[in-house]
Amino acid sequence: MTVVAQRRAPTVLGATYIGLLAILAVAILLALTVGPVNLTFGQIWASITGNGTQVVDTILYEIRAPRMVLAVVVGGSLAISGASLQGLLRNPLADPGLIGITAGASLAVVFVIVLGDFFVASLPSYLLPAVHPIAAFLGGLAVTFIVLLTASLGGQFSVGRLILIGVAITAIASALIGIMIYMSSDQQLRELTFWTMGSLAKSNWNTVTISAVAMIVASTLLMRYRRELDLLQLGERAAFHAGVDVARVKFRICGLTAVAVGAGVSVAGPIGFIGLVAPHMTRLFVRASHWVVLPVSALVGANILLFADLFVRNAIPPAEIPIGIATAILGGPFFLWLLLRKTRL
Amino acid sequence: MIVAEDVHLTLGRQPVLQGVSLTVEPGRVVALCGPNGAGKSTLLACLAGEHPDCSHAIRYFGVPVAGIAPQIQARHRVVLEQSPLLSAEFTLSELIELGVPLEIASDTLVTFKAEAIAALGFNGREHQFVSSLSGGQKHRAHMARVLTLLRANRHLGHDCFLFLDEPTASLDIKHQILILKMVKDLAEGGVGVLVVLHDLNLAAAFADHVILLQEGRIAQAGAPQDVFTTDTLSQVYDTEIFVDRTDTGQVVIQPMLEAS
Repeated sequence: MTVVAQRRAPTVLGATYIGLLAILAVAILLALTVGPVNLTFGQIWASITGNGTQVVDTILYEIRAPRMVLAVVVGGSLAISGASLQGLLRNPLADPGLIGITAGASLAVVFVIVLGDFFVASLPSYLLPAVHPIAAFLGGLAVTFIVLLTASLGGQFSVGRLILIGVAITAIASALIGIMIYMSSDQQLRELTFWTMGSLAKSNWNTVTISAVAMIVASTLLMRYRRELDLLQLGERAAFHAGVDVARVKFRICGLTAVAVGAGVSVAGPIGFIGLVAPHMTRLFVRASHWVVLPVSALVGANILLFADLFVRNAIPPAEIPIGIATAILGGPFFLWLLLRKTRL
Repeated sequence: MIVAEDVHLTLGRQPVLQGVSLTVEPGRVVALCGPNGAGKSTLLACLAGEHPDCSHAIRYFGVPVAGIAPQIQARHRVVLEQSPLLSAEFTLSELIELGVPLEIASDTLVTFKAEAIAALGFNGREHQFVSSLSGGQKHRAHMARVLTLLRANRHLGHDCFLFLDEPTASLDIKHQILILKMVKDLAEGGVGVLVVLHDLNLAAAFADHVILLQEGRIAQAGAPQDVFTTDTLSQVYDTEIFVDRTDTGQVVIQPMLEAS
C-alpha cells in the first residue's frame, strides 16, 4: 500500500473567498457605523481602545454589534442549511421551510402569543424575553421531527415522500395557525404579524450568544457532509455504492438543518429566501461541488443579510421595514426568474 | 470472493429471486443473462448489498454483507447502474473524481483520471459539463468514474470487484466492444466482474461464465458454449433462437426471423 499524502479536498481559488471576505468586512463596518446616529471610524477606534464616550459605547456594543453578529450568523447558517437541503433533496428549489421548520416555529409562537397568557404569567421574569425564542426553536424542531419520523415510517425514507409529507404537515400546521389567528385579539394579531415578518431588532447579547452558538455548531457539522452531498448527486443508490450510509446521512442533515434554522428563527423570526437565493447565487459563480458551494454560500448569505439589514434600518428612519419583507422583495423576483429559466431548459 | 447463497427476495408480493446461488471470483467475468423481469438487475443489486432482506445470504470474503458498513462495502465492489444519474452541474473531471477515497495522493489520482478519460475517448473534454453530453456519452462518463474508483480501491490494496448493469445498452457497437474489451482486460489483471448483459453474442464472446436467469431462478449456468444452445435459449426466451458457430469457434446467436 503506497499512501503518499492525504489529498486535499477540491476547493476554489482563494480569490472568491478573499473577495467575499472583503465585501463582508465593508458590510460589517457599515453595519457598525451607519444608522440613526452615524459613527465615525475614529469614534469606533476610540471605543475599542477604551476611550469612547458612554453613548458611543452603548450604541456600538449593546445595539449594533449584537445585531451585526446576528445578521452574519443567521445569514450564513440559513445559506448553509439551504445549500445542504438542496443537495440532499437533489432539488434546486428546496428551502428549509420545506421540511416544516418555519411552520413549526410559527405555530409555537402563535400558540404562546394567543394562548400563552396563563402559563407565561407564571414564569420567572428573567425568562420572559426568551419565551418566544424558546417556543420557536422547540416548535420548529418538533414539527421537523414529526416530518422526518412520518417520512421514515414503513422503512423507505425517499426524497419524494419527504417533500410531500413536509407539504402535508406544513399545511396542517398552517391550518392550526389559522385557527389561532381566528381566536386572537387585535393586539395579539399585530404582535404575531410582526413576528412572522422577521426582524433582527430585538437582538441582545443573551439571545444572540445562545442562538449563535447553536447555529455555528450545527452549520459546522453540516460542512462535514460535503463529500456525502456530492455523492448524493449520483442518486441514492449510487451514493450507497460509493459508501454513503444514506438513511443516516439524510436524517442527520435534516436534523442539523432544523437546529440551525430553528435557532435562527427563534431570535430573528422566519427570514425567507436567503436559504434559497444564497446557494443559487453561489452556483452562478463557482463550481457545483458542495466543497465549494457550502462555505461560499455561507459568506454570500451573511453578506445578503447584512446589506438587507442595513437597508431596512436606514431606508425610512426612524421606522424600520421588517427584514423578512426586504429579503422577500429581493428573493421573490429572483425565485421567479429561476423558475422561468428552469422551464426553458 | 463474493458469494451469494440461496438468495430469496420478494418485492411487494412478487417473488423476484427464488433460491439463486452464485460466486464471483477474482479474474473472471460472470455474465447474468435472461429475459426482461428475470431478476438480473435485482440480483446484481442484492450482491451490491442494497437489499437488507437478503444481505445475510451475500458474503464478501466470507463475511455476510449485513455486517459490513457501507463505506467498507464500497472498497470491495464498485457498481455502474443501468441508468446512472447526476443532478448537479459537474464537469466530466469532477464526476470522475466523485467518491475516490481521500487517501489517494493527488498525482496518482491525476494519472488514473487521465487514463480513464483516454480509455473512454474523452480526451480534451474533461472540463465539459456532463449535462452537455449525449445519453451514450453520459454512460461512458460514468464508466470512467467507476473505472477510476476501481483502480483507486485496488491501488489502496483493497480486493475490489466490478459490477456492471447493462453497460453496453446505450452504446454504439464500437464502444460496446471497447468497454467489454476493457472489462476483459481488467479481469485478466485479477478483477472479479459481474455484468448484466442483454446481448447474448457479447456475453458469449466476453464472459467466462454465464448465468441464465428465468423467473427468479437459475435456468442454466456454465461456460457460454455450454449454456447457449438452441434448445435452452429457445425455451428460456420463449422464442425460436438459433445458435451457430463460426469457423473460428465464435458462438453466433440469432433469432429465427423468416416468416413461416
